[in-house]
Amino acid sequence: MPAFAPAPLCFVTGKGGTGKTTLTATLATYLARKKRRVAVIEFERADLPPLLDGADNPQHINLTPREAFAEYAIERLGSAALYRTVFDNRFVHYFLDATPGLNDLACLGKLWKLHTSGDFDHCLVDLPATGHGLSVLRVPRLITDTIHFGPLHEHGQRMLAMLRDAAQTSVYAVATPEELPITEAELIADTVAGALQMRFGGFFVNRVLADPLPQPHATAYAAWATKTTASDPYRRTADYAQQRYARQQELLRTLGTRKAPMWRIPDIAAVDPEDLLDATLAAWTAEVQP
Amino acid sequence: MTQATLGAPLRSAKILLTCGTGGVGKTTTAAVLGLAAAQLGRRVLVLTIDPARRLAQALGLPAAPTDAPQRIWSAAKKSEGGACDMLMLDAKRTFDRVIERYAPDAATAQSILNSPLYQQLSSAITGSQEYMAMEQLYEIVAADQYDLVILDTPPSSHAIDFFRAPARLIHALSDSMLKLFVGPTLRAGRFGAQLLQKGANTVLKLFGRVTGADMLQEVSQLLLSSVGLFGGFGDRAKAVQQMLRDRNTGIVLVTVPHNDLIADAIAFARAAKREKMRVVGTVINRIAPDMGEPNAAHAAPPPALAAHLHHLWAATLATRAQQTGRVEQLRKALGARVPITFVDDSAEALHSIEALLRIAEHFQ
Repeated sequence: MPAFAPAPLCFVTGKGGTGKTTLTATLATYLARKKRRVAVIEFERADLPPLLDGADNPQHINLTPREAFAEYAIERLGSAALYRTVFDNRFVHYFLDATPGLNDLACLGKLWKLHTSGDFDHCLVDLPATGHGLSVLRVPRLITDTIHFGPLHEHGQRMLAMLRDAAQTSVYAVATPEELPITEAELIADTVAGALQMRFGGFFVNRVLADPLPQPHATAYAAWATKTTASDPYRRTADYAQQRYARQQELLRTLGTRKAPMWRIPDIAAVDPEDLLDATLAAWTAEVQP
Repeated sequence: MTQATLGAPLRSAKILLTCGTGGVGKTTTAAVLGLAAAQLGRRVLVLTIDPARRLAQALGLPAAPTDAPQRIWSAAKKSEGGACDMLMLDAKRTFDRVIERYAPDAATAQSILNSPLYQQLSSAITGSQEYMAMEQLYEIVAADQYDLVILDTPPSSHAIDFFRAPARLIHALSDSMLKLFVGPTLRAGRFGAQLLQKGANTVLKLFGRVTGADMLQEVSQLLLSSVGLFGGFGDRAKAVQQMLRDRNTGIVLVTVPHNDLIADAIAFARAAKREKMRVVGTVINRIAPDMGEPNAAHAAPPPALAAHLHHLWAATLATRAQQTGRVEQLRKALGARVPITFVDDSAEALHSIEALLRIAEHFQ
């Protein structure tokens, strides 16, 4: 496994259902237990399961567009009272919601403040799934291209500089060893390094199966399998496990041919949802610190 | 293990929607349902968005979305009449078409399509794909060329988004507050002038301090162009809703037996009830197969291997037991009348028509 040395600002995205949120929480907890000051940041989502309870844990921050925009506007206006009088009403909220990119930009602004506050060694951002996730990263460019001067243009420029600073910022893709998630992870890597001109940090692949027949069992099995029938429950089990494993390995090879690092997290046998973070953390720690 | 119970909806439903979280095999299930109904002699269209590359290849679909349906299977004897077509939706293109259709004139349509903000809008607003899929479904059902149309709903992180998304989009595009405030001035064509040239309004001046004047211009331009669309969207949304609540329309809930996904499916089933829509079946994909009991009829493996194989076998059995246990929770939530069909996690990938047809047989 490649060494894990995350950037100060990490964005994590990937196909929905690949374990993105749990992984982000796992990495944050891992770093926090190494005495780093870590923030795990949820982007425009308020339904993070209670993954982060307990001591020596990362700080959990939820970015909501309305609050982020309020903070930005109050700074620009220099008065919270003025903001409340003029902006905090249904019409203005409607206008802001209807303006593409504005909510995302406001959240990125808040993120910039957290990142530059000096309070954290690492900010780990759990972005929305691939499509929306990448569109969030595209927003500063959209704003600076659309608006050519003024406060929002400058704000967009600042966000763009933050995202493109390869020494500070990386984007990571999360996948499971299945066709669609892997395809999306490749799309993320290409978009990040290409159109977005950002640094791609690598792939995390969750739920990787262990070889069901490690040696010497594989050789013994090959010899024995010819002596029994295809309907033998043991043979059916072994063939099924081997084929599942082979299918995963084939997909992993397609990611492996890329230059970016890839971290594999072993499949965790079914656990209760409350134990998922602990189990993932144990599996992750075992992988990076053999 | 398969319980053949989807037969009734496959024979009589006019619209089926496959719903579920992304990555649970929804598109494959939609294709299998389509093949199963076609084998029962029905003319079927399966509507899908972005199928996995290998599934698309196996079905003989073109690499890029097209406007014409593709025949993927038809009965050997013409007299039996069954056929299954598949149409791949291009969400962006459909969005563009809706703008073209509802815009009062071609110039307005162009002005919306050319807006730099429109691109972002059509991809970033949650629900645009869901909404557009419904649009397409409505048109195809209205054209009445098929006995059954199956809509493979767009992938989402939660199955329940399917219900929330179109409403959110309608809200974003047609909020009555907006119409109240800017509608009349927009229609009179004075909005831009008032907003940007006079600049007398304190509120707008403050807006300018926060966002810059350019921003206002772009947004007002987009809103100005979009205002003519509101009526069309609203009327259509009501017609679509009626179509979805029709007694010949049913939802097939698709999931895999993971803990959180079963919870998601249960939440979805409740939401469907609230929305007055009917779940007519559930498909549980990728359940660990039942391998059978080891017995003396088969050759015994050498001892070291035997222990290892038994461990593998027992682990698969335990996984299966845990998975069926979770499905029981779903069964309770859905009620006993909703059939649950299991599809084994097959070691062979479902990447051929033949493999899909084999599963289709169980569905009937």
